Amino acid sequence: MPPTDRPASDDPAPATYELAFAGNTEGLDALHHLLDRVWQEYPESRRPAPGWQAEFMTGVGEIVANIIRHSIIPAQARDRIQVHIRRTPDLVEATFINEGAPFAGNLEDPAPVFDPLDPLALPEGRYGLALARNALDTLRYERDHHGYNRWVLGKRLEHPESGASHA
Amino acid sequence: METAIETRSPSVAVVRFRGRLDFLSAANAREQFTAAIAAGQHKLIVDLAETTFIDSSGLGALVAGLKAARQASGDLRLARLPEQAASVLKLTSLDRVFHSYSSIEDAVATY
Repeated sequence: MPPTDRPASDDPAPATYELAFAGNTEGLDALHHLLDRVWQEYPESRRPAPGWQAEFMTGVGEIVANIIRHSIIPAQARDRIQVHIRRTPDLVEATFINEGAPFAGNLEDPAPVFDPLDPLALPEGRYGLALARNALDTLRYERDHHGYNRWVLGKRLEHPESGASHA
Repeated sequence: METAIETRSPSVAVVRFRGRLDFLSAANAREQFTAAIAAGQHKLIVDLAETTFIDSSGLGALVAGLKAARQASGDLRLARLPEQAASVLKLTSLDRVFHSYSSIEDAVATY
């Protein structure tokens, strides 16, 4: 959606961020701190709402968990995940790249079906991919012939003058 | 993730998770619920005020805790949900399952 009539001076300049992190607590700490930095470096008037930030982090968290649990080969040199974050006035996009086992699931896996009136029958898993899809606008996976996985996660920023909030 | 359990009565306990409730800590959370219920505290309140992030594995731990508590004739209720936790519940429609309260005392009063 093209920009409308908001003053160009309010738009944050496009920016990119990069990090290589391990699939452990310290690595996840670094990733969370990086995302906090991305939000903080927006001009205050253009900063995505906390609810928007929360949804983006939810999508990121699900995909990173999937990479660490199913793709990373622990204790080997290939245990790092690279993330490239691109921020424009209208979009935040995070690309995760790792060398490891391919994604063997189905991006379109439906969310578990449950009856809220029957909690004893609630599924305890399989919420992750649907949760990521619901939290994001873009979720793509590719694998190249060198054995690298590439996940692209994107979420559009909606601007107040378009009638919708950043949240 | 750090966990603290506060006994409010022989059957009521407040479980606090501080940090990320995710795939790295979900198993520990499940163990905490299991131990509390085994000790007779089947009316649980999970205080999420200091839970900085929850993923689907953490959500699964809450679901498991809810089921175990209900099977013991109790319940598991949530209190002080941060934005991200509330978002996860809403995006999975599990906000239709869990009872959530804005304060610990409000949650305790329901038992």
